[in-house]
Amino acid sequence: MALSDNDLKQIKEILKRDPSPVEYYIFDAMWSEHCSYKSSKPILKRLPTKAESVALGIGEDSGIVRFHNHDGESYCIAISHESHNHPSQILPIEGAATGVGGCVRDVYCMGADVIGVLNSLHFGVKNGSDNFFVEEIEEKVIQGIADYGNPLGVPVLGGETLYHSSYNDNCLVNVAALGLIKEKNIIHSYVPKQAESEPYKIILFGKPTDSTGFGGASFSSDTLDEDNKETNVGAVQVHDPFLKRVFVEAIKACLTYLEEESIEIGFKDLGAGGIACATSELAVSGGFGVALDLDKVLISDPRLKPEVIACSETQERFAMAVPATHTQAILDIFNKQFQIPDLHPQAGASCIGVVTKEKTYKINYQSNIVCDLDVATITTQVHADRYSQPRIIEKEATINAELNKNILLEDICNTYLNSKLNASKRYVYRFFDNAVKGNTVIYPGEADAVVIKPIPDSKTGLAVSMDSNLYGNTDPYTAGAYAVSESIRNIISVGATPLALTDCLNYGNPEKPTVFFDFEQGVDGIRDAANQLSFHKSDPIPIISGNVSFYNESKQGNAVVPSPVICAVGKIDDIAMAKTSQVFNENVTLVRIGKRYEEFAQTQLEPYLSEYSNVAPQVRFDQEKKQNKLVLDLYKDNLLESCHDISMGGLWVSVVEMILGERGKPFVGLELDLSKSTHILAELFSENGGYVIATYNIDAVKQRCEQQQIDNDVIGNTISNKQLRVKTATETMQWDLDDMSRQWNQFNP
Amino acid sequence: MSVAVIQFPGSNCEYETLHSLNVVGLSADIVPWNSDHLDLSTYKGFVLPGGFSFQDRVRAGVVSSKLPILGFIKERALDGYPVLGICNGCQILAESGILPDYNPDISMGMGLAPNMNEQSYHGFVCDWVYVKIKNPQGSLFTRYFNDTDVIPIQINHGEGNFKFFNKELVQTSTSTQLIYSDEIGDVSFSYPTNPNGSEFNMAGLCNQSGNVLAMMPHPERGMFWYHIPRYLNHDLSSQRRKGVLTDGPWKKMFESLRDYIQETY
Repeated sequence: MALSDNDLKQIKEILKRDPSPVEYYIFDAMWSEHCSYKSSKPILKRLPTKAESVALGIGEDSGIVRFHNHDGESYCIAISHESHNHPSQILPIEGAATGVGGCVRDVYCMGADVIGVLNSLHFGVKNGSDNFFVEEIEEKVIQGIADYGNPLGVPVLGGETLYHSSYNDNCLVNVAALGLIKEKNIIHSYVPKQAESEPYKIILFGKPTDSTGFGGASFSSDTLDEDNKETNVGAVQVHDPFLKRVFVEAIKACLTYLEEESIEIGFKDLGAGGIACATSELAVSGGFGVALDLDKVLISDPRLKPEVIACSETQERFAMAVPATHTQAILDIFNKQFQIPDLHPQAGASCIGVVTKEKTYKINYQSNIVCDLDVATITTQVHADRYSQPRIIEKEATINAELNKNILLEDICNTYLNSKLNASKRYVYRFFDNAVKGNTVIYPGEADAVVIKPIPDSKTGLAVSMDSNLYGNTDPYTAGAYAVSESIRNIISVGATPLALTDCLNYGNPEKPTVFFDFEQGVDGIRDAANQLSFHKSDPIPIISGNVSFYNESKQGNAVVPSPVICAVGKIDDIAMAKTSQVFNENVTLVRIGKRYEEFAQTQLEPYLSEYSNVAPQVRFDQEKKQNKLVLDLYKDNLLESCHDISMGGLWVSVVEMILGERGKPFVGLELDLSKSTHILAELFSENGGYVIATYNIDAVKQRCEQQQIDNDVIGNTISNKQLRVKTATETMQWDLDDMSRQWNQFNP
Repeated sequence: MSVAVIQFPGSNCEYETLHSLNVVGLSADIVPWNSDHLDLSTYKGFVLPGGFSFQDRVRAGVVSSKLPILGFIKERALDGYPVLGICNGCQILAESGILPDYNPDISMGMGLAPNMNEQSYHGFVCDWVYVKIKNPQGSLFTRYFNDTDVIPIQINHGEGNFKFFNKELVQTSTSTQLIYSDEIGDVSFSYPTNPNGSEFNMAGLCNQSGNVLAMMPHPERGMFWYHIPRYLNHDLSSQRRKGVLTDGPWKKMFESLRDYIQETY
């Protein structure tokens, strides 16, 4: 229970009476951080969300960006981006599965068909027997995502897996769901104006309402407490992807019917706060009220209390506002055509109330009025005053980095290969269907972004990527800016132009001023990158959807690394143009694009350094933008064979991946000549944004780099021998690729 | 001259399967599991698509195999109409006893067990593998392939491990079989060549008259040039990288079905 004494006092003042139990839980959900964004709202206003390309901005269940005009239709991409961190820590299978489930519902209820999901997974690091369940959580989160996405028939289009000890007591599970929709078919999350001239009813359909997820919204808005483990477990919802798959087909049939009859509806999924939140928001945002009859709700257990029916977060449910004259037809699609009550006891559709012109929110239960609120009361803007405590963050490296004594370069290279951060992640993504729907063009693991071909009969591709980093403890601004810049590099790397971004901001307790400062800085970093990395003359790369997750902490009260996660989508005009990371042929020249800096704080090199400046890898927007433009130009002129971005792990990890490929099966070897490099540590391990490209036409590439004043260097050539040789000014290192492949594949089955 | 793609509650590959049929010029419909038999009587072929019908309750494919619609499809199969089961469709054909038909006295001659490597269960696998076809001429689906072809295809299942009631009958059978191999066509039992522990490296098999095919891998995901990953060590991937690949290898299977239906009905 999260309502504070102060909240309760405020509620009593507004109502001029005590709230009923149902009302109490409605406020508990609606005033929670999770639903009200009471801490974050003023800061989030800084983000650039508007652009000509945006079909539907922030405010409804998904944001929608225009993607491609084809055959006279404007095709759009709807995106929802959510976290399910606390539930995944407590019950990892159910928590992660319902994270996917909730996110896809946000997209379906816009009228879109979900064409893919991405996930960003941040797990702890096992440290002896101290935290034995870290690995269990990892395994079960992965299982939960697979258990949901595979039966639902939605492909997993990549994502990322990171490891850091700050996630030991609080893993992060972020999900983005992408949908395809024609612009003319967008359905809004509110009762349409038409309801002024004809009666509208509220239909609830889905799994029967039960007590699962009761109090879920306020549970996500609090720090996890070991003593409350039992109540916490009850707050996690239970998934049913099978039933959802059937509902998705039934929704399609409904929407076809409604389109044929030219009927306007309001459509919303049930998430936090259950029936109460969904139906009130549906009505209130349209300027209406609602009268519900809880006796009409399909429930799993007759003993459920009214406040549980009204506010539990049972999964796989939706609410639809439909003209009264068509309610029976809609109910029949679910209950008769798709026989849903025969597939799952008590599941199906029922009419649970009416839309009213009177702006009140009333709930009837067994002939008693259990909730009677002015709509204005529910929509009262709650906000919490938060304070940030700035600290000094170094931005310029002034000290030459020095390795610890007795550490060899070769040892560092090997340690990188053995790190779970860099190794092949096939052990994660082999559980996820990546090709259902038949649209996948570039598969997870073979390039920086996944590419799909979502519109039948069109060769236009959609590139997608999801990224974050571990720089936040040193430089929370860079954590945000770098997440944006990396996700954009990944889109560029396959030859696509960025279209839109979404964010999910994972932080500790916002009541702590140091945490709130990190949050503010992250938002500012995202804002600046979205504005400055856009190729559009006046618009940013718009942020069309997002989510904030606070209270991610360890048992000792330490916040997780500030973790802004970014999802980027881009467009490629012809899927045949897209390239991947691996080099397949001999005598191809590798070129490093982008200057290297000795900015090693929070990078993988940091543990090996005795002296260095406390500066995390900075994002230099002007340089990054020029580099991005260059890569797209090289694509246009067909000068690229392969392309891979430089990010975590630096150039070393990039070239290893380019040689080993998705499978860890090299086609060629590589000779790297870095003997002219005066800063070998920066050359190999700097994580500043850049690219390694492979080309047959080095002269043309060089010429373009020089014309556009982009820092670059030829670093080597592919060779027939299956070896990787690295020549520095002082030594030559050599790896047999079979050994390297074994190391890189060591966590795979 | 239409093909029915049967949609069970929980099917999830019906649309791309329909698309594959349409692309080769076959007309096809998605037909729900609870349709009347009369609605089905005009169809000349039947496809059971991939998915998780009835939530894999009891065992994958069991509940669907008991539906009246499967009784109807069994009759059609015996009458020689083409029937194709992919992934969950393969599991349904196994559970319904339609395949294998080596011994008419056995009501259920095979089952699909959870994936295993040499020692242990290893869960769901989404991956690209290779298959070879034994006696491709023996089936209306595979007659355009050669027995020397090594063909990449995607698998996506947790329970694809073929177990046979009578191994000897399988071994001596001459009916068409799809066999997991490595990229150069060598057949070994070890993981990952055999991705799920199937007996005889079985990936799919036909009945003796060649009109019913049950296969765990997904041919509809190998229809178009862009389905074939760039990274495979295979001639088709190399063609894709050069930009000269025009079709996926499995288009031939749907073309063969099209031609058969046009020749026969």
